[in-house]
Amino acid sequence: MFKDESSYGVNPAGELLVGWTEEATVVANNALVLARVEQYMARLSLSEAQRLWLRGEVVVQLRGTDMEGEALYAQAFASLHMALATLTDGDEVDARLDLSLNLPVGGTHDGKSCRWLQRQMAPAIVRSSMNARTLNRSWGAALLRLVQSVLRDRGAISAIRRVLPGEA
Amino acid sequence: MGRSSARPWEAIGRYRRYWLSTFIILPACGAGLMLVQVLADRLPLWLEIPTLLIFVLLFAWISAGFWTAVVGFILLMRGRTDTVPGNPELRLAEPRPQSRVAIVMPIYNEEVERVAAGLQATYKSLQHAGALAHFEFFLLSDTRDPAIWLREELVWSALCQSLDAFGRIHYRRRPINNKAKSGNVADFCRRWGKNYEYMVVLDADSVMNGETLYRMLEMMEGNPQVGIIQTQPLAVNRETLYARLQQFAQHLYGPIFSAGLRFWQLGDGHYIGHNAILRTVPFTQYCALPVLPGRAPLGGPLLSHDFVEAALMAKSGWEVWFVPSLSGSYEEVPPTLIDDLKRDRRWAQGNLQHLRLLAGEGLRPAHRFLFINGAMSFLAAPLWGIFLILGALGSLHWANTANNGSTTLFDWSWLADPMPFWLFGVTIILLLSPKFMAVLWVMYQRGQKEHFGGLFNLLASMFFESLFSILMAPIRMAFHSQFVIQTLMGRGVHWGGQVRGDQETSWVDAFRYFGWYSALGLSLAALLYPFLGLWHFVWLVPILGGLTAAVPIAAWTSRPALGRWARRHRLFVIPEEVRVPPELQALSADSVAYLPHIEGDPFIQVVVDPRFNAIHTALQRNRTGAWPRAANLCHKALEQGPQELNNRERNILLSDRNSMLALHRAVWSTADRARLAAWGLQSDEWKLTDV
Repeated sequence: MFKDESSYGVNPAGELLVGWTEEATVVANNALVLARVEQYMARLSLSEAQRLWLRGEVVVQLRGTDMEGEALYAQAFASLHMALATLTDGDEVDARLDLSLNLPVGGTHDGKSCRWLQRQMAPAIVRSSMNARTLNRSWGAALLRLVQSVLRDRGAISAIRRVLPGEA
Repeated sequence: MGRSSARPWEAIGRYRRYWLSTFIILPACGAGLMLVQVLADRLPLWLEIPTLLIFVLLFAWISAGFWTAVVGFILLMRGRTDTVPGNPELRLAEPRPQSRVAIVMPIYNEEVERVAAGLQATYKSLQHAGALAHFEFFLLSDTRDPAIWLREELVWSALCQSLDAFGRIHYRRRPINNKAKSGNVADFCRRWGKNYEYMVVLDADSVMNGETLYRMLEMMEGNPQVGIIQTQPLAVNRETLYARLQQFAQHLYGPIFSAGLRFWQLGDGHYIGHNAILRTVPFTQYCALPVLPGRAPLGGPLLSHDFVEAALMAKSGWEVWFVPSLSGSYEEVPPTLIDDLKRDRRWAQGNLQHLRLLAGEGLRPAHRFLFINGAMSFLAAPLWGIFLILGALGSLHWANTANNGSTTLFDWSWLADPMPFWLFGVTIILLLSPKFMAVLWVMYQRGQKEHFGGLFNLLASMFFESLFSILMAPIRMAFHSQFVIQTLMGRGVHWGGQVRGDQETSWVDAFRYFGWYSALGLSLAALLYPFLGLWHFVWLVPILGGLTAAVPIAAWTSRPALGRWARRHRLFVIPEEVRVPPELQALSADSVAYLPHIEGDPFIQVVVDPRFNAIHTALQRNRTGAWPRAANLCHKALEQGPQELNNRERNILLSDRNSMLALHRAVWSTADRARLAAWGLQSDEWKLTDV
């Protein structure tokens, strides 16, 4: 679980000393990996407390690992992403998205920021069909229609009875 | 909502169009008859008949424009709006709370910042008008270039964030560009059309005033029989000399032509594909475009969709109104002659395709006329070219006959009139009088001439614009003829993105595109002068001069510096430059300065940057069908570097959520320095190692 700075003790003496020494060893042995992790975290708009907590989580996961090269980097980043996911109580992409959009991490959209953003991008689809209707483009048919309309109009005119004044 | 059977404007419209036809046909026939008398004894029949036919056709075509301008001028001077029954301006209704309008903006490989600025300006204007509740925006992207696509996504999210417009501005990118822009809008209608009673279609460079949009909505609400309301977008914002000339001409002459056009059209108006409001249900039901049998360019999907959509809307009983009185509608014109001609190339093909729809069953006569008119705007060029050739042949024959059959080079003795002066005078009146009417209309309105830079500058601008138009005419004629011939010979064009910025034409490009025409002008001048003599040759100077000067005209008019110089000297000034409307002020580059910029290759950034990667990944879905291919591409990207992926391969990876996450994690977990460098990752670790 994520803790902010108020949750940490200020004096690393006493029972914490052993853990601290162990952590210092891990940090010293994995300086390159941790530098990469720092570089990654610098690109996220993290608060100082969040950054420290994430770093701590990575260090804890690196403790006692017997790996090197890409496996070690992969382990470190898997730990970092797990920790990021913990920030939102969900998915690490949701956490990164919250940080990108300057939203309170995990505090909005029920921790499902990706799904929320998708809905904002494209509302729910309500399908309707849109198909081209048949268009008769034949010139012969057009000519026939023209003749018919002329004949029809003439017929219509001849069918109208003359109305004389006084005739109902 | 519904189609109305009783349409009171219809009889009035028919009556007006009969008059227009009379005004076009009778003078053309009269002019033809008078020309017959001149040519009858002087030219052989094989030369006389085609000359006459083409003359009558061209005369009729330019007189249609002239009479439209005359009617528009009279209407504007009378100062009365059109009071025809059924006029949508007369019936406004307050929108119902549930009325929803989608403002759709189809884009294709556009300059993203400009699109965002336009959308933001329209959004804020709507907000300012207090009408935002009825409107939602849709950016409909057909972009194929992955770099621009990624910019679009990033800019969309930043725009929504800054305007607090999540859920009000949407973004959709089509994976397949079926039927180009019309297909993009149709895709919107199929997916979301049911949710929105109306849609406003904008171009990538369109800007609209919020109050205008609301007024359009009121018109649609008050006129349930109307399917489309088209505004007259005003050309603004350009700085090149060429574009400023176009802007000035459109602002000055546009109102009288628009008023005249509206007078003839009434409810059978046109639709230009943007800056218009459409009723979604009938558009979806009736306006899907037919695919013409045969292959492109004259067959296949229709390249110019808008006129056909208006025709189909009207065919199914809905009214289409052009409302030029709606202000606050803006667009941008192509910045250079080359860009303008590229657009004309597409339009030429599209308009010629329309001729295949002429016999379409149920189409209204007004729309058939629009199809013919559209095609004629390009067919007129080769007709004019043929007319000139016939005229030159006629002059030669005439000169020969006058010299008793002996043709001599450099013959200066024969100085008879090569062309009847009345013909020249009438043509000049038909072509130039609308310009003077437009100036009179501006002078008639109080305070309006100051919006064009004052009376002297207005007249000077008109003079130079007319001179430029005369020089441009033969260049356009040559290009349009080429376009028509290419189309008829089966050479089609592909859909391309448009240039929206003020980009200069280099001299190299000017020579490449226009060198042939300049050479043609010079050759013709050298060839014709000895045969025609000075007097005949003088008549051809505007044409040959325009052709010869094609290269410098193209190069110089593309210069923004010359455009700015003209503006400083108050030439080609338009009212929107004197009093800048707020929505255009909001278009300034500063207004979108807050938008994130992507440094370097956007594909690399979207893979590497955890924030950008999150935004992009969140918007994609898992495309399981593409996984085998995507896995191979991921390996290729990691092993050989992102530079080795082509756009198609990048698109496959970018479209799959899983691949983007996998690549992101894999790149950050890479230990190899060279591979890391390919993704732009190094720095801190080097420092550590060096220490």
